[in-house]
Amino acid sequence: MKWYIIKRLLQIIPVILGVTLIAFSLIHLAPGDPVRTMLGQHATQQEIDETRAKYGLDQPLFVQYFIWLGDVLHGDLGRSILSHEQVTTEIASRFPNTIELAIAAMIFAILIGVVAGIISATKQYSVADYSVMGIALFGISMPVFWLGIMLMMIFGVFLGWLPIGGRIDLLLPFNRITGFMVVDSIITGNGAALISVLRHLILPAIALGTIPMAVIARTTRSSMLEILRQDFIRTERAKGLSERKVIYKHAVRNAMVPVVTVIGLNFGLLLSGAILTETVFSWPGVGRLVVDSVYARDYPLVIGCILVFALVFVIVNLITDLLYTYIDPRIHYD
Amino acid sequence: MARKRETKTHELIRRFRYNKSAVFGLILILFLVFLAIFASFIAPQDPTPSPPKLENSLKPGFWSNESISGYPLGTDMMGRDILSRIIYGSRISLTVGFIAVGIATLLGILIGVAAGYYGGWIDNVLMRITDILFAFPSLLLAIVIVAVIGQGLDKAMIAIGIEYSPQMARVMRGSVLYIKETEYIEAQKAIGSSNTRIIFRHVLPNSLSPVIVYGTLMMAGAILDAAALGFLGLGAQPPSPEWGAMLSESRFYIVSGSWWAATFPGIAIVIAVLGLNLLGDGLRDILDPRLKE
Repeated sequence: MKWYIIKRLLQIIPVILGVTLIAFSLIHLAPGDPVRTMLGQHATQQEIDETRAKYGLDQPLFVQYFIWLGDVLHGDLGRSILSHEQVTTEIASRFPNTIELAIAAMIFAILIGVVAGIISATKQYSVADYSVMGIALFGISMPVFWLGIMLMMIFGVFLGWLPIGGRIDLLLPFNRITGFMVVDSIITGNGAALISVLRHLILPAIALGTIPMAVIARTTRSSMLEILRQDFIRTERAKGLSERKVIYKHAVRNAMVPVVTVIGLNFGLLLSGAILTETVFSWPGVGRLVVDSVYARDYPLVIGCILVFALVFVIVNLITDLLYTYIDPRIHYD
Repeated sequence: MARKRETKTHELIRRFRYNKSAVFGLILILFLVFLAIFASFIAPQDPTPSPPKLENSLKPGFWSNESISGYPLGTDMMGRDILSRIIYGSRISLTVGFIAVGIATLLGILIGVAAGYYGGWIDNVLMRITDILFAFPSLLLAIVIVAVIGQGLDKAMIAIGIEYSPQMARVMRGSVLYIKETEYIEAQKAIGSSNTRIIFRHVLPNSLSPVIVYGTLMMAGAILDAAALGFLGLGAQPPSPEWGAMLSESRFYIVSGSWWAATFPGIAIVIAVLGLNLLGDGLRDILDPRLKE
């Protein structure tokens, strides 16, 4: 197990290096000149050359790559061409928002998905089963951004229950400490801010969590059905254990192995979905930042965002893998 | 031989007909194909009239007294008929889905067959490259590619095609590895058939089932992603009646109560994606029971 973890960690290194190489080279193959965009049409050639030199854009590409890679390893991703802020600062200020959204969406997806899947499996071919599976099928076929707009329209515009966008009511006083706004408002004992922050979180989290919820429900159901057919469950029942105990103590625990994998794999979907959800709800996260910086051809920022996304994605996949071996000790990796 | 093949086809069709969800998925898709082909006959209005009839801006549809006849699902902010735009949009979405999956399949077959059939360092190098591509959350990869090659519908198709190619490559590789070990391939090698002949006559035809199954499911994903790129303004550009772009244009008008302009294009996306998901799941059950979850 220890060697497996080390092996998996080592495998990540070339992947991450490959990601940096792809991100860097692709962006530099892009049409359009960031310096000209930045300086506007009326810049003189001298101004353009000077700016190029200032950002190191006059060096050969592979030199630029290695200089940049060295900087990245020191935690320096350069400055945004548009805002002149440090890329790390820009990303760091938005990253907690994306993580909070992703976690909230996952909590929603796991709670509803697992419960719905269990109900579906224990009452196979009932009305409840068909409704859950029907909703799950719609769930995986629905575009995240459309669902977001619909939720916003129904609960934000027509019913007026929840805000239609943003992270917090901007008129409220707020102290930033960790950047995680839910955490910050709890630490500072700022009740009004906490309520506002949570109210802003509900609709985006449901929009983003629906696809994983549907996938988790389907996986839980099929996994539960398989487990419930197995001999040890029959033995438990024969022993006279209550049906409740059989299902919740024995079947569910065993059925969760594939569900954990699906949850991990869905994190990727969640990150893709976050890009869209954040755009719909004007959510100040990394997902919207990457779209905005692609528009603006702000290369350092695009690269920074891509690196963060890929890194999070690879790490989550690694954790999923490791968790999988931990939960199911029958699996051995040598 | 011919007779045997015929019965096999009959058997597949029979199994298909008994698979309710596959039949329903196929009906949905055929309906969209029908709309796409006969768009110019079915659509009540011009999807992009020029000059725009701005006096018709954001009129509701049949459910309201304020609706105008000939515009059953209402109009968008430019006074264009939403139903007609959705009908014409089916052309775009189906084309994108088809071409993007075509690109993914072509690349995937090339990479997957090379990796699976030849093995060794070729396999190693190709699989490490797909590993790297897998490190990007799917839509992000498409966005990165669009950032390089530029925005627009044609570019979006290429980007989505590349996005799905590593998946198709993995599917092909697995399939080729399985087939390579079968006895009839060994027999082919023993009688001295060339690699090219073995690949084209035996390996590829026998890998067709997973390509069809995953191709159908990928098409659902490709249509979703194309709509997503359109929505983000990185895919089809206005005034194109692409469903995602339509949503993006009209979403700001929901605040003033005009819900229809952003609602119906989304339903069209759901129909297309749902149809392909049902069809793909059904085909998987029919063609390859091994792949069943």
